[in-house]
Amino acid sequence: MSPAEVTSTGSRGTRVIGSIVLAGIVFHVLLSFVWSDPDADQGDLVRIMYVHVPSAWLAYMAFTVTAFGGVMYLWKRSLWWDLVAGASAEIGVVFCALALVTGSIWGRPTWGTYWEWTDVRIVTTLVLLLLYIGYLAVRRIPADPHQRSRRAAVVGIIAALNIPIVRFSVDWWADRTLHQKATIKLGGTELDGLMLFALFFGLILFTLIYAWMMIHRFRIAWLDEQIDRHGLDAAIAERLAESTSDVTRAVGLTKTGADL
Amino acid sequence: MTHSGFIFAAWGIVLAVLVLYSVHLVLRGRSLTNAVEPEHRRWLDSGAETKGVSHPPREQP
Repeated sequence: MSPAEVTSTGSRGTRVIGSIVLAGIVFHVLLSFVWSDPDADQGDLVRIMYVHVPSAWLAYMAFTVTAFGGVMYLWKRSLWWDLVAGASAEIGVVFCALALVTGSIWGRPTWGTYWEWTDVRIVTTLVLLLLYIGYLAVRRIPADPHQRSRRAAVVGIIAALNIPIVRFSVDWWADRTLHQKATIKLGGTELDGLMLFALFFGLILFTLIYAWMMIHRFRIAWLDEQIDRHGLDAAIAERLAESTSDVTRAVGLTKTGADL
Repeated sequence: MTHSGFIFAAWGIVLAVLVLYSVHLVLRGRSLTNAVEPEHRRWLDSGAETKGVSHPPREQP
């Protein structure tokens, strides 16, 4: 395909992933609502977990990619890694917000409240969301491109230190949370059967959604960079052309004066 | 199904946000692609420009 034929950020790869995702969403809805049974403790509310847990997982993953992109940028000074970091942060913010909202909806019938300020998991997740909204704001501060990328990389890495705090908060401050301890551990799990399968299928599905979004968001960031770069180049070229014509005109006038 | 309002609200919000954000990405991608000169549209062919190079030097006019 020639460059002129490229009219969107889509490609064969995104169309394949997109088709798998659409089929996966239908399967996940059937799995979560029709084929899996209610939980012994939570009842039907466990069905919210099939979107809440994958959202939280993707937020962690996206922010980890942002931090990794930041490290790679500082090491390689590569624009590619800077764009990857920025794209992943924006998607991470979307998933982190979804994790907070779905958790809040689940909390109302389970704990009797939408929000609990004394719960360390909830508050540290909110802090994580605010940190990466701040990261996105830092990326928009007008500055020299090197300086902006360097600044964003440092903020992205520091903000990522909160990820393990969020993850292990329920173990470290067990008396300050309404959340249960980690259900799925390396040594085994308390879930079984279709519930476990629905949860893992949700994780895989959301990871594919993240991949699809990342490809599009990265290409958008790349195009934005092209517009910034070549738009400024065009403005400089135009200004230089104006200056040159001014000088030529001035020289022409002097010569005319000398001839006289 | 018990608590169906909470369950459908959670699922509805997730699906709606994901669909809206995806549509936003596709539309923004289309408009930006058309705003860029054809020779600068191929991100996949421009690895040398972006990989391993920090903010490539501006072309001299």
